[in-house]
Amino acid sequence: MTIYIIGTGGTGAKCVEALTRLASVGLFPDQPIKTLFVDADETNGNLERARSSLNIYDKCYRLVSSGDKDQCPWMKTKIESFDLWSPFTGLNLNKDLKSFFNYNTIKQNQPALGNLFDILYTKDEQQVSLDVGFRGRPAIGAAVMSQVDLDRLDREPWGTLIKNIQSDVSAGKAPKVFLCGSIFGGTGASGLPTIGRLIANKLNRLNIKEKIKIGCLFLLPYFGFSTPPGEDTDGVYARSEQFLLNTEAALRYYVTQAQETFDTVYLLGNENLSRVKFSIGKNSQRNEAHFLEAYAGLAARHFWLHTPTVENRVVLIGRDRIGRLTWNDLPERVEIQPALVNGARFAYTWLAEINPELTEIMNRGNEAVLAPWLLKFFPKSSRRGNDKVQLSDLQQQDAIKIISNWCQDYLRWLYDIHQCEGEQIQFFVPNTFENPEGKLRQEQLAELVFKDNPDRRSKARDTIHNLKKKLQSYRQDTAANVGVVGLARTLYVLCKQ
Amino acid sequence: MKTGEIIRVIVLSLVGAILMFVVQPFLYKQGLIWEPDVQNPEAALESWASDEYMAAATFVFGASVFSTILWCVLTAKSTAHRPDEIKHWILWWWVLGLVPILSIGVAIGLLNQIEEVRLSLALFFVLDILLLFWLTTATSTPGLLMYTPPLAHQMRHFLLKFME
Repeated sequence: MTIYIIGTGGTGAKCVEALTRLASVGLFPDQPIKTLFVDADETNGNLERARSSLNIYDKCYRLVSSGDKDQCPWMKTKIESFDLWSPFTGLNLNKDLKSFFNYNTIKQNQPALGNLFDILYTKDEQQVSLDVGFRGRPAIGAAVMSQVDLDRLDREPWGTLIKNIQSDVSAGKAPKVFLCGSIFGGTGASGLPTIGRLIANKLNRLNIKEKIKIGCLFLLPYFGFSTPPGEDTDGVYARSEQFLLNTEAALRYYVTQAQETFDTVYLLGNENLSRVKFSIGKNSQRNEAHFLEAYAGLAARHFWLHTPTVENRVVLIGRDRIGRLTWNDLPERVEIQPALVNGARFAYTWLAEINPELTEIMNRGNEAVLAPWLLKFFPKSSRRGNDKVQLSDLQQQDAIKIISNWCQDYLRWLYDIHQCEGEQIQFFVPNTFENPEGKLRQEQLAELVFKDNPDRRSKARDTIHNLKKKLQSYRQDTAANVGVVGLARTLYVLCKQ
Repeated sequence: MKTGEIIRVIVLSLVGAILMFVVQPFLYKQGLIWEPDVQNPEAALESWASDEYMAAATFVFGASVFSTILWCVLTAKSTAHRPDEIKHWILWWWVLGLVPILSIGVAIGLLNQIEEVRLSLALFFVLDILLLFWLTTATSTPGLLMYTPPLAHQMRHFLLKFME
């Protein structure tokens, strides 16, 4: 089974970013995920972050995905990206509403329609450039998105996406499509129901709709910002105070117009709005990760793994206490907590100890005897039919960099989701990995995970020293488990608690 | 320490004990190494082997086994895991290795009164401490310090091949 994830707008991109991190620690099945970003703002900072994460994931997946995926769940899911589609792609015109609707022609040929356009949109809204997105105005986004015609879209990536879905159906794979984005902004609120409806219509016309489940995730307002002093008060940009109004309108649209489109709908929201930096769009619109996006990733996982059998069934998830989030508040905690912890422990151990030590050994020359845990991964002879693997090989050095990049990316994301204003996130102790690019203290391995009553005995045993001892006495089950990749995969397995 | 390592320490110590307390005195008693220039060389050899040799051998054996056990205990308890930390332990191995070497000096200089056997005794005792200290630590040092004794890596590799 394949799942197609369509992230709409900046928040949609952030959901895909979170999903990437969850998939990397083995929380998704060993089946491909195919992602597509929908955004008018092609240089959006959030989108760029998500693309960067996907890029890091892809490099790491190519490197480490081979081997027993039951034993080592790290990077077991393949993620393919269709990259980005913008409603302005391929249009040789100014990216404003007026040009997009050929306002001058309409005004000349159909004055009544032109006048209606003037009533619906202010002069500023008609003329403002939309290359920064829909500026938090769903009315603008809805107008642009409603012009999208999937039947006429032979341009990529829609053509390939629909063909892929058709092939999956032909192969009996029962694919699923999951759309995610905010319901309070511009692109998500306008694009999400529209794109969902267009896809459903297209699949209906292809007579395959009943074989495909379409799910959707709406993120209700969870962040806010203040307009900086000096900003034009009548300017066309997103305003925090309009988020609830936008949400109400979008939900009303969903109830009256789009309910039939989706088989499952997830709604996520938070009482406390995190403060983010004001931005009209483009690269400066780069918000830190939020714990709600992790929930968004988990919603996608839920949709993939659990197809609802009862129509209109309401599934609720909440937390025990407002302002605090603990492991107990996670859905399917038994599976999710160990996977997230395993990934964090591995990333921490790799960055705090393994990576610096490999670099030191490399710089000092051949003194691998002083790191006996390393020797079996770099055998001097080619016994068991292996090619001789040397730490100094360019390929091995690249592998170290790729794995380190993933570790930093994962820890940085974990750190960010703990920084939500007004929230006590009690999953990990984020101070221990505040700066994953800097020096991490190997003594703090046992302190990574937040525990109410830490067991002193097990804490004393949970050291990198003991992990290295386990690495040293680990019996390799396959001849391919050598080199940096073999070392990393083995360490990942051993980091499991 | 792993069971295999403990067994190797015991077996090699036993082999060392057999060499020092059975084989070597036997060679001396047979007059194969040295024959005293006295009226009754057999009786003189018997007396020297059971008194002076045994005292010297016990001393060297004790020092070697003490150093070996101390090394094994210290390394088993050590939390060193980084190359620079492990490197320090190489020095400690040599320091502990000095104990049996010095014991040879004491044994052949003070506990043994016969000058003619000093060279042969020294050679025997050197071989004994190579077995009791070097070979035992090279094959049985536990944990991440397993390769700190000289040639330990090669010895372990050989042992692994032999066991395969």
